[in-house]
Order: sequence, then C-alpha cells, then structure tokens
Amino acid sequence: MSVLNDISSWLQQGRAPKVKACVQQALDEGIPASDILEQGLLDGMNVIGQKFKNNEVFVPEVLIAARAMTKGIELLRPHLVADGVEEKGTVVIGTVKGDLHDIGKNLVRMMMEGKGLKVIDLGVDVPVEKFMEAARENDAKIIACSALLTTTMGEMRDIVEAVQASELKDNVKIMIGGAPITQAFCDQIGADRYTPDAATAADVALEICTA
Amino acid sequence: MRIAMIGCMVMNREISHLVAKSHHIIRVWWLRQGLHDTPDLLRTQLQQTVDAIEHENELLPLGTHFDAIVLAYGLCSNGVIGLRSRSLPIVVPRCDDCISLFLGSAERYRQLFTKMDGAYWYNAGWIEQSFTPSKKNYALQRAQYAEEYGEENADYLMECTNSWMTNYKSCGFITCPLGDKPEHEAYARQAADDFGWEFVKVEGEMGYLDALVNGPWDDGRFLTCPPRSRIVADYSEKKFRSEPAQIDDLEDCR
Repeated sequence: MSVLNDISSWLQQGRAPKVKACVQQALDEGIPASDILEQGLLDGMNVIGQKFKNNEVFVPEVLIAARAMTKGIELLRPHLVADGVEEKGTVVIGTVKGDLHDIGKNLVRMMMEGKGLKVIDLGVDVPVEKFMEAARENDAKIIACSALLTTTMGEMRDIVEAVQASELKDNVKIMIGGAPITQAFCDQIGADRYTPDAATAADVALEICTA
Repeated sequence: MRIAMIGCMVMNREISHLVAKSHHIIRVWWLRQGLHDTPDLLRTQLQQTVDAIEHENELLPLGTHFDAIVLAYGLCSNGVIGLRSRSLPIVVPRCDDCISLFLGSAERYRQLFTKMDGAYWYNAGWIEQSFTPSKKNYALQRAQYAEEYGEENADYLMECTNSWMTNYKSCGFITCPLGDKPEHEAYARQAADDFGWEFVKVEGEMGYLDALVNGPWDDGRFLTCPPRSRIVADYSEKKFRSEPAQIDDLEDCR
C-alpha cells in the first residue's frame, strides 16, 4: 500500500509533519493501526536503525526520524488501545548518577516506545535507589542504564549489586549502554545485557519483555 | 632518553613548553583535539601513529632510536584501550582524560568532579582547539542543522543535542600555569553567563604533565605497557593494565 511506503519514506527523511499527515491519511483509508505502525513507522525506523549501525547515517538523522516516529505513534495510540494492542512490558530508563548526558538515552527511549514498550524515563543523574523504586512501582521487567563518561560508568556496578541483593533480582534484567560501555565491562559487573546502539537496545528489550 | 610522544592538540602549549625544556630528547606526533567523541577513530589513529613510530624507529641511525612511546592521552572514552606495540613500551597516564592532566592529578579531578556537581570544563587548550559551548558556536551549529536537515528540524536538533547543557550547573575554568590570555577567561565567563552556570576558577597544575613528559613514570600514576602487550581496561581507579598481545594482533600492526 503506497501510503505505508510514504510513511516509511518520510520517516527516514525525518519529516515529522509529512509522517503525521500520511498516518492520518492511512487511518482515514481504514488501514488497521497495527499495520500502520509495523509496515509504515517501524519499517522506516528499522531502515534508519540499520543505516546507523552501518555508519551510513549519524545521530541527527536518527533523532529526527525517531521524532517523526513518535509523532506518528501519538496519532495511532488511541487506535492501538481501541484495537486492544497491549503494551508489551515496562522499562525503567535513566542516565546514572553524576552523569548529565541524555542524547543516547532519549534515543533508546524513543526506539523502545516504537517497539510497543512502556518506558518510564527517570532523566539524568539518577541514583541507584531511584532506579529500584521506579522498577518496583511500575512492575518493570528491565532497568536500562546509560552513561557517557568513564568517570560515571562505575555507577552501573552499584546498580547491579543493589538489584542482586534485592527481591528484584528474579524479575528485573539490567541493560547497560553508552559510549564508554563494552561487553567486557558488562561481563565484569554482571549486568544482563550490553547493547552498542539504540536500535539493538530496543530489539533486546522487546526480546526480554516477551520471553 | 629519546621519547616518541603522541599528543592531543588540546595540550599543545603545555607539552610543547615542557618538551622544549626537557632533559630528554622528545619528538611529538600531534593529533587533532576532539577524537574522543569517536573513540574507534581515536584508537585507529593512535594505533596507526604507534605503528608509524615503530616503523620509523627501525630506520633511525644507530644511537638515535626511541626508548619509549608516551601517550598524552587518558582513557579518553576508551580510545586507548586495545593499543599495542611490537618493540617499544607505551606509557600512558592513569586518568580519565586531559582534565586530570590539567588539574595535576586524577585524584584532584575526582574530588572536584564530586564537589562541583556538574561542571563543564574550559581552559586555553579547549577554547583554542575545540567546539566549546557558546552562543556564537550554537548559532553556527543551528545554521548547519537548518541547511542539512531542514528548518523544521533545526530547533529540535539543537534541543536534543544540547539538552545536556541545561543539566550542567557550573563552568570550571582551569587556568594555564604558563599564563592565560585574558580573552580565554572572558570567553568562559561569557559562556557561564549565557547558559546560567556558576563560574568557578580553578588553578591549573603542571605536575602531572611534567611527570608525563619527564618521568618518573611511577605505577601509581602511569601504566607502562611492555612491547608485545596490549592496553586493556581495568574499570578501577587504575583505569588500565597490560596483557600479552596475541600474535595475530601484532601481525596486524604493520
């Protein structure tokens, strides 16, 4: 269906108003909201995510594509709810204590929301206890932590230890990411998953939530 | 000693000063400031420079060979992790980045990092060599976004890519012990005004840089990674350690 191709194409170009207009057109044509999401918005976002992994596009392209996706999803949400499409799980996300950077974390949030996950965003400079409280209150399946600085990445170790020592350990997985984070660091601190980019983070979160 | 140093341009003035006065014979290979934003590229450029130094070392006349490669780099977003050499030891300061070197020690940086609660650091090297936040630089950045991604996305991209700034609370201006140009401090003060940060002046200290250039490279402050070894992350305050390199890795060096 050409309008779904248009949605995907405009999304890849980061043209939020065009994406909104096409999503509305698709709804008017009676296309199911879940098809518009999967074959239009997510199709376009997957292309951008793949290009980002291959270094064909950079952070600004992904940001404007993700914004276009979010605008499209806002229009779709009432229809998705009415159609009984359920949220697939809850993720608590934040940048660790002492770290004030959030470009990557916000990108991950948008990508996870695109996958139909509910995301509780705690912002930046988030202490260990706040991650744990939010996970408890929202019955989250994942705590996702971001850090940009090598000076703050050690906080992730404290989060892993605190969760391991609590009742959350059987119910919550810890995902970590950010520029200085590596699989070796993940293994060393005993976090559950490291992902190198936002698209992979969203895939892994969905995998955990639907396991 | 004869030292091959690989330096980040952000420390150009301090290191050049120390090199000129050093009792060692030092040649410096300079890389541009800002490579820490792309750690894989930083690692590639550092490794290529290490390889070039080792290759050149083989061609030097008897008695003029290098004894060590010294990196004027800290962890720098893990850009130094994985580096290896075949014939020369690599010396690297045990710190997160150049701020520790400008402040005189990794310990002092850690203390100020905790105490100042969200400080963005400025000094002469950063102001001269990099894209630092200022109203003028942001106007340039917005114009570039508008051209590349369209007017409808320019403000959004500015907001996304610069939101971290509103989270910072203070502007730490590190003085240069060699003397500052008045416009550097004025620039930092203006940025603090523009972005609503508290301006804090912190005295720069040359001791760590001096030790980097002249030694001694004590294990507390420096890693000496022997030949045929690679630098690996340690994730403690020591930042890194060395471990024997794989033969395949060493073959890649050329």
